[in-house]
Amino acid sequence: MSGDPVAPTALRIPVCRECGRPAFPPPRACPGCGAADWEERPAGTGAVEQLTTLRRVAGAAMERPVRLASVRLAAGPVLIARAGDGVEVSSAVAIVTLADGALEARATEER
Amino acid sequence: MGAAIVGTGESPYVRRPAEGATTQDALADAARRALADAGLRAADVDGLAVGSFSLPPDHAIDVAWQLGLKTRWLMDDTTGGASALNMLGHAVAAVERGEARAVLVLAGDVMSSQGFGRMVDRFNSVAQRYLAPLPHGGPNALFALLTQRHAAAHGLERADYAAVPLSQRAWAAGNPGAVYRDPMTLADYLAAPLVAEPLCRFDCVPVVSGADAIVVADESLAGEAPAITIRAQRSSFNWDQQDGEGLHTGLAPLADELWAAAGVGPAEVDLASVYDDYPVMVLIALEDLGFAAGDVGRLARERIGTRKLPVNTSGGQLSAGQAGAAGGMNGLVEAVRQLRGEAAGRQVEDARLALVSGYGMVLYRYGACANAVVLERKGGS
Repeated sequence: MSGDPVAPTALRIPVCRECGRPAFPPPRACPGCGAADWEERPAGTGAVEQLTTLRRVAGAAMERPVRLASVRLAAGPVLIARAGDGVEVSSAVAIVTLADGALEARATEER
Repeated sequence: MGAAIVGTGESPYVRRPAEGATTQDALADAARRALADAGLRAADVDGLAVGSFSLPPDHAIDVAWQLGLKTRWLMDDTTGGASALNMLGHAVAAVERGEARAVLVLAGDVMSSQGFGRMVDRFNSVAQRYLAPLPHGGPNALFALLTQRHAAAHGLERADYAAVPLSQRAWAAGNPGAVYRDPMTLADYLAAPLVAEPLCRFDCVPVVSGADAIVVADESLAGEAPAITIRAQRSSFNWDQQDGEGLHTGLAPLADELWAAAGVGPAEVDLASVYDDYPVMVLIALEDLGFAAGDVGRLARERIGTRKLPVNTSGGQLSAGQAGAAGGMNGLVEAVRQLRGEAAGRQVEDARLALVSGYGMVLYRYGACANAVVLERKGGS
């Protein structure tokens, strides 16, 4: 065991084996066909559609504001992620899961 | 036998609860006031419904025991901002089926901002796993993103959304029960600290402690005040499997059916209590229900902002405060009071018909429960 921090992992999302529909967050029954038979596949890239900076919580300013993005994956589902460095509205992004469980949208060259 | 709302009560909303005050205290206080208003005693009550985020480990049965209510009908509601109308609908059905003659419906919470913060992180398993780690800090950032999406879709600006908190603050000037009543101008709104753009402090409901109650009973139990009856009600849960954009609610596909069942249309409604967790949701619900005539901006500026369409005349949650699960009950109680002519200082003249809507339970990105009811003042003066 090296003691290195846990590296971010690329997000994988469930895809219905019956009808091919991806879903996120993962439901039990496929909203398309009702089957409960999933396989995990890479989430793939997406685009940032909206972006906001959370500055105040419980009536007080946050020490470290958080940039939060609404990302539409090319595969279809929309998810909420922390916006990584340089990520802006319309940015092409890939989603990783950080050690603390947070989803982060990171800028990618892909379109 | 027809059911009617025959009494209302509100335990006063406060910014900071008194030392040692509990949610049970607030619920009991609202219950006492509603029963007094209805001219009924605990012994007359044979049904109880309770909606509260902070009541656990207690439940409705514990409230029944605490209040000395021996009932034939009981429910706990956990649909958040949809709870008031969800409980109303079930209570009305119980009375109409003859399962109960007088149902006490209670909702409220004694909660601090910190307590609210802890609650939103644990709100459901999806929030715990995918939102709390970001951190998201609650629904404000989610509805900030949704407001941006809505603004782009409708070509609206911050000043358009401001019509909602501004008009509601103006209504609150006539409601001694509202916690936030200081006059607010557009300049005040635009200068307010941002919570998560484009939402500022005045776009986010202030957390307060309190509770609301109504009594749903057989019409024959109505006292001197006019009985308030339900012309029609419709509800929707998980209508789009959280797969959409949140720019419409489950009320959209139900609106035509609601108005047909009510036998009236949006133009005949004298006032509306619309669940106002955020200004954008007031516009969305009213559009879904047919009040916008294809132009949401005009609805905001020319109908809501001018107060020609009375919306959330108590000040709504944005000015009265959100006492946890009482949020939806505030609007229901206000609508009943308006219809009974009990809204001195903000009375809508000769109010006969009211629309009340509920919305709640953010599954991931937006709410999954939506309901609406058309209320009518029967006879009386």
